[in-house]
Amino acid sequence: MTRNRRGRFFSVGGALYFAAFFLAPLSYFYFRAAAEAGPGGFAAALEEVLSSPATWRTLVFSLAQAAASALFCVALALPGALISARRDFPGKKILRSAGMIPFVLPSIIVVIAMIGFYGKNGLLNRLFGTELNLIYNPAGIVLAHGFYNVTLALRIMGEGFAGIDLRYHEIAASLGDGPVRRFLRILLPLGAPAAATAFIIIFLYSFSSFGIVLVFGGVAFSTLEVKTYTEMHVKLNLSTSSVYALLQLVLAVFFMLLAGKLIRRFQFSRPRAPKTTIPPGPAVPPGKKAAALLYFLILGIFIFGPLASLTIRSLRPMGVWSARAFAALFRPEPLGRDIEGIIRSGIPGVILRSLLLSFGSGSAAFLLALALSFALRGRKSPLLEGLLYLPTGMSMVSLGIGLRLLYGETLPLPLLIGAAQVFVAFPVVFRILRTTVEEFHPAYLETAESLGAGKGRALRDVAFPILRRGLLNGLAYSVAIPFTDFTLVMTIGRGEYVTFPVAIYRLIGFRSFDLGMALGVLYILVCLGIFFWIDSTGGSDDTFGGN
Amino acid sequence: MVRHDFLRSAVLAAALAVFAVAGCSRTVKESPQGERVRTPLRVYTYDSFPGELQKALTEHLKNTHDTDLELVRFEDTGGLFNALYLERGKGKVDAFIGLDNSYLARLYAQDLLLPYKPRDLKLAMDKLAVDPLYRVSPYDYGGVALNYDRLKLPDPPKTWEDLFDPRYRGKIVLLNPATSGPGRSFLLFTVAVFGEEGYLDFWRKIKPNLLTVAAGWTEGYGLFTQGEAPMVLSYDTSPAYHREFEKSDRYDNLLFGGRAYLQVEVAGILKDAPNPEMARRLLDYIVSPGFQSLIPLTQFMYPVHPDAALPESFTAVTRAEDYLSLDEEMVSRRLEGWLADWEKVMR
Repeated sequence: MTRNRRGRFFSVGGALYFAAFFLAPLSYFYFRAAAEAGPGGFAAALEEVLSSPATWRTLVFSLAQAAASALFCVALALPGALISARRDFPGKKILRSAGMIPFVLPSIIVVIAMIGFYGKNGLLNRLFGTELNLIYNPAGIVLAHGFYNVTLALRIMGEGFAGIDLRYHEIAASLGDGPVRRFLRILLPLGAPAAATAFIIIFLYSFSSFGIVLVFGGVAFSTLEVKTYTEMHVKLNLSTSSVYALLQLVLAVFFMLLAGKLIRRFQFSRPRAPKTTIPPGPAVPPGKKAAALLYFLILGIFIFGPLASLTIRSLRPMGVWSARAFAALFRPEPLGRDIEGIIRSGIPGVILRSLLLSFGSGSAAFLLALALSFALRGRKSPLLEGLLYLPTGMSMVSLGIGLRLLYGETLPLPLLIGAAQVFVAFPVVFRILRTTVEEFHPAYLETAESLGAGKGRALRDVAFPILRRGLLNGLAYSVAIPFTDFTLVMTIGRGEYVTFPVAIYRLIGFRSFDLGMALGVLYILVCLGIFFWIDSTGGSDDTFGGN
Repeated sequence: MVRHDFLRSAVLAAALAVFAVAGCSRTVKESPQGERVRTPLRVYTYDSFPGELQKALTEHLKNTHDTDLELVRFEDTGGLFNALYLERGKGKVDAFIGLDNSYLARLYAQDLLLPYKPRDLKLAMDKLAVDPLYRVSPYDYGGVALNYDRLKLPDPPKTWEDLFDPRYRGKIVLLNPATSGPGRSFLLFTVAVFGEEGYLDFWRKIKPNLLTVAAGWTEGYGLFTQGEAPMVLSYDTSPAYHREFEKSDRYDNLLFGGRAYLQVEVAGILKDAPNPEMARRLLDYIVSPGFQSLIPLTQFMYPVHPDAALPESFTAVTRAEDYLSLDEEMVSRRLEGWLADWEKVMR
């Protein structure tokens, strides 16, 4: 009874937050756009957009590149997720912490890192003495989205696969099933929900991709998000812009609901063995071991190659090895530019502000996701869940402007930015926590209590250890994702609140590429620090987030 | 062991809560204290408006007029224009700094501005007098033109036709006129040079030589300085930056026939400005020689005032002899059609 009441409290609270800081500002923005155009104007814009062949070309491309990107990530992450869910190997912990880096990079840094590695003047081309055009085409978009998201796929799938009871495998093997048959009959159906989840989240992120497509897509290839931006910021046509944003929203909802249906067909119906340790397992044949090594080598180059090229370039300002770009960040004289005048804040201030903001919005996203996961435990409500995943496919520019218009004069700006950033992190965090909470049986608590443990002790000694892995995983993402935000800080903060991505963008905009890259490397180091700290707090249980 | 982890996590959670509260309370502490008789002058601009210029404006208003400046920045000129448009009639903004000539037709059409001719307005060229009614005041200008990397391109093209040469395959980065200000100017440049009948032919022929059409100047110029392509669309003033701050003459502009396309940045007073008198003083200062001489090394554009001094890094760079421009009223009627045809050619 109490649980029901508390559940209702959580769902009502969460729903109110969603309504106040997500639905209301967005609706207000669309309402304003429609009102500006007049009653006939909006209908005309709608008709114009829907009847234009360019819209449909953009739509088809948005879908195709998103599907290709998601498929690429899932395929690339599959062996890694399988291996890491079942075996320990040296460097796994570092891979897990450091591997999160690409996912939390601001898109401007992703672009620079990709160019530094795959570009015509990049590391690969220099290594082989070629000048191949590897990325200024649709393949470049998929490659960049792959770099961005593959570690997310690794985490989600690793977590899902870790929950598969290996005894099924052993039983099948003892019954004489070969590896192919075991894969098809056991791993595929049991691992499908995790793979589908990874696919759909990456699909939605890539579907609403902006920065990457702007640089590598050229004129021929664009997404609905790019169209939304172009109409609003360049053609200054708010009603057409909001039609594109609405179209994207409708499609995102549709895919979310579809995916929810697919995922739920598998989920909650399978028995899971809560596991805390990985059994040593039989010795691995050398051929298999070599293949695994080769795979991790390629994966490592794919993830760390662009990061390495970024670091190398930051240490070679004007083509000579030196640390002066880093020194210049804190002591402006060497390169002759007034750094503080460009960034309009000192670097320590940027770091502190970014940390404060992302810890603030991150903990809010974490609590919101946790509350809603508990409230929804064991329940299926496709409509509500579809709503909760909406922010992934949403135009953040529209959200930022809507929030600013609606609350800009009543709420302090950092609070408003934080409240909006919650939605950037929320979908991923909610996905992780929902799975974690779903697998936690209240029976554990009841048993502990019936054995005489107090409520607090039961929570501390029983609930927390079981939930710990998933909680920390969710916390890591909830803090790291707002760290990357550029759009909301800029549209709401109007340049007064300088965070890492804003500072990097400003340096690069003022042609201080070396300093921008140095600051990018600094950013990566801070992120690494956060991940190592959170992961080491999580103890010694080594999987890609399995519990 | 388990208990230890729990404690650490509890500390972590508590720290988060403190951070969150601290993050929220910051603004309260930062808000201006003490009472001031005059309300600050509220001015909108874009994000990359130089801090040095902001400092000069602030000090001038403070010292000469005992008024504070509240400079509000938007992510780009599009965001700036949208804010002026969406907040019109509310009496919240006094002035803006930093829209270019491509916004003029829309500014006039929305009737947002209060005309004012700044005291001592002197212009280096007649072409800079963009508005006979003085609804806006020009304060800097430059020419949109191709730039090249001497190190990677010892034999640069000499004419427009040279650009089509197969030896430049994949060596040019241009900017998308649908998403970039200079990109738009360059499209108009080709219309001005080749006419409405000929400009598409230019784009058709240059297309195979493009590495990419970047969305914005920052991205395009970044590709250029990162060595991805030896030619890029930028400004005739761009080489001055590298001379000034990198002591390098590696980069130079390409002015075919001595021509570039004119881009002028303007400031203006809003019709519903709460403090129009002080906004006028601001405009007076912006066009004065004192402020104008700060323009070159902060904006890397030319000052509009003929007497403003130019640093050596500027005088060493070839300057366009002829700045082309099309009538903006005409452009506003035709641009959509030109863009649509352009997109058909380029996709």
